[in-house]
Amino acid sequence: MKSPKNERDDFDKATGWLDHTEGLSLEELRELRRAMGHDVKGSEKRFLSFLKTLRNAPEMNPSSFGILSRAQELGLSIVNFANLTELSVALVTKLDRRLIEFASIPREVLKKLSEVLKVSAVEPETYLQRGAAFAIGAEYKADEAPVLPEKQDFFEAVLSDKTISEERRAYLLGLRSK
Amino acid sequence: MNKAPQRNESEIVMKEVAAETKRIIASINDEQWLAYYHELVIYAERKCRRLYWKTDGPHALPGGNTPETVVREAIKRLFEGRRTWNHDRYPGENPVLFLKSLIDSLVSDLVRGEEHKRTAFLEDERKRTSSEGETYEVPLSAVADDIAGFRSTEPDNPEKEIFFREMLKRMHETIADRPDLVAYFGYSGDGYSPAEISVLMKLGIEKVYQLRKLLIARLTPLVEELLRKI
Repeated sequence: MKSPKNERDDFDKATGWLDHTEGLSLEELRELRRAMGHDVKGSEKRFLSFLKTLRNAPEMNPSSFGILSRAQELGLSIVNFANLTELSVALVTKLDRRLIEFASIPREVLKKLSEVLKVSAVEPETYLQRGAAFAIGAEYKADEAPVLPEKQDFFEAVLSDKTISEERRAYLLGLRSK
Repeated sequence: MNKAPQRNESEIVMKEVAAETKRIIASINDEQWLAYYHELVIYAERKCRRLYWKTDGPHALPGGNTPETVVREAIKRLFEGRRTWNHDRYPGENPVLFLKSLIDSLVSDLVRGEEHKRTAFLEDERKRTSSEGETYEVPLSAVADDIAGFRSTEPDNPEKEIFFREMLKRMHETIADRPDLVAYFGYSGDGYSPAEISVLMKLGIEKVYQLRKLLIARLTPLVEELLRKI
């Protein structure tokens, strides 16, 4: 273990604790930055925009594949796409934002996605396993800072979907046993 | 004036990125990135404030840079593959420790850039410009190790010293009812990490994290005043 540095002075003694904020919650970190006089909202907005630029770099994003963007390329509206995949607008939106646990998505749904999008199965599967994203352009539309919801189990999402028809809900829930 | 060429943030210069690094970066969601970002900005802010305090110089980084732009530059270099994340040295899925080392290196370079008539900042940190205008390279290990180089040898400003002594006294008073907090505060001021403090205080790491959380909650109200003065 290292010894205290000889050069540790009153500045370090008073502020050294600020060097170890790992594991604090996002809200705790925001509060600390506000106390430091930072414009947290503006800072997050700039960073998320910057992050988007980085993620769109060709090397980071060898396939620019996205579920809804691919559907749009094929001339499908979100409603048409939801109908063709036997899902709902809410479900395809959640899939597009990767808010559904990949392991819980039935094989049949993945197969249908690749068929309708006319791509190999690898593309939607790779896409859906990446980290969740905020809705495009939705950051800070509200007054509060954005909070990303936890990833949801596919069947829980089906059960809580208020927009889906009962017939389609029953079909999707039936895939659980397969 | 800073003559150093500074790249536009939207200009991405991709080099080869290791598959492991790419996999980890892709798995980090926006919310986690925001938490990492705040953690890094707090770290960079303290580092820069220390620099201003020690050198008694202007309270700004050269070239209009801020702790935030330095953090974004570090993250950008990670994405671009311009700095390689050594997964043996910085294991796990969390890039923060690696990025902190990169921030140390960038801040060091920034100051060295000032010393070199402000010609070196935000070039590839291996490349340096001599006072004659020639470029040369230094080993990366040296870059990471010489962050203390910006520390001034000038005597500290007595007024500031008195302020800090008073602030330390008030911080101690704020936590005086909890000897365990006083111990944590002392160790963190000596530069020990929570893991090291866990060994020193013979406490589990979770208990140490609870102490840290409580300490931060108690001291946060004093932070604004502290930073306003330095």
